[in-house]
Amino acid sequence: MVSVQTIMSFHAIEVSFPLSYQPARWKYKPGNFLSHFVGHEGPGSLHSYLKQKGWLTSLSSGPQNLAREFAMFKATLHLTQEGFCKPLTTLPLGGIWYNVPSQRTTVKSSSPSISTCRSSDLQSSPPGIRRNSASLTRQGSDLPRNSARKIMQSGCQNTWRGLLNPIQS
Amino acid sequence: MAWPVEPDSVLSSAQLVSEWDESGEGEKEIRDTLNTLTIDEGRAVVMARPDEFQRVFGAEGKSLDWETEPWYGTKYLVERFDEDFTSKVRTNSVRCAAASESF
Repeated sequence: MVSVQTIMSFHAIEVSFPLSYQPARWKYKPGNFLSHFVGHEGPGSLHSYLKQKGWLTSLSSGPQNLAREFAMFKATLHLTQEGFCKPLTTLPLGGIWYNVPSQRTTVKSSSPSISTCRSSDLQSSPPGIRRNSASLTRQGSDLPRNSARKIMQSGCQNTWRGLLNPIQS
Repeated sequence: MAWPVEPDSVLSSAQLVSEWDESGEGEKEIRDTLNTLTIDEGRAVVMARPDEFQRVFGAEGKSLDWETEPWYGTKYLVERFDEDFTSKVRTNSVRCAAASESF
């Protein structure tokens, strides 16, 4: 953990992990996929949890390419003063994702909701902007507004619940 | 070319995501990536005003042991997570606590 003094008055935690080179993974974009869930702000999300506690003002996450063959996955949490008093409580919440794979959870359970939602929405979008099925992009604005919203709303709710309640199967 | 893709995907590959297919290749890639996000490999940077650090982390009457980086003179402190904390994160005890709440 690195503590840094700031001049501006704010509280933030930035959690980062080394990530494999993402352009080589252009087909499935794991970095973007994960940041979609980590950065989600709907019911049942990390954002929602911390916000409800009164600890958080904003949360963002995403992969960043730092150099060829090297990237980081980074989540930035801006905290309230109260939230800052609890860094060690807040950080293990980061641990919510760190440990996901060791439990039999989730990614699987979440994916149908994304793809179902995606394909049905795309079918209902006007012909001019219909895209092929592989078009969940980072920018929600790149999709018809409603469908982007639906994807965002449904996808993570399921996932995050899934993360917290490992699926017995 | 910066992206290792076929010429006809040069424009789209940065934007489009493929569906996961039966082979499980897509899911595996996501899971493998998720597997690398561990407390042992991660790093946290905490940012706040000095008085806030003192208030939360400091002992009474004793200032924290700051170091100074050579370029901008910013004060910083590097610590390892203690074993108690990392093992808690590994065993998900916090997550289980959160699972019982509604949010």
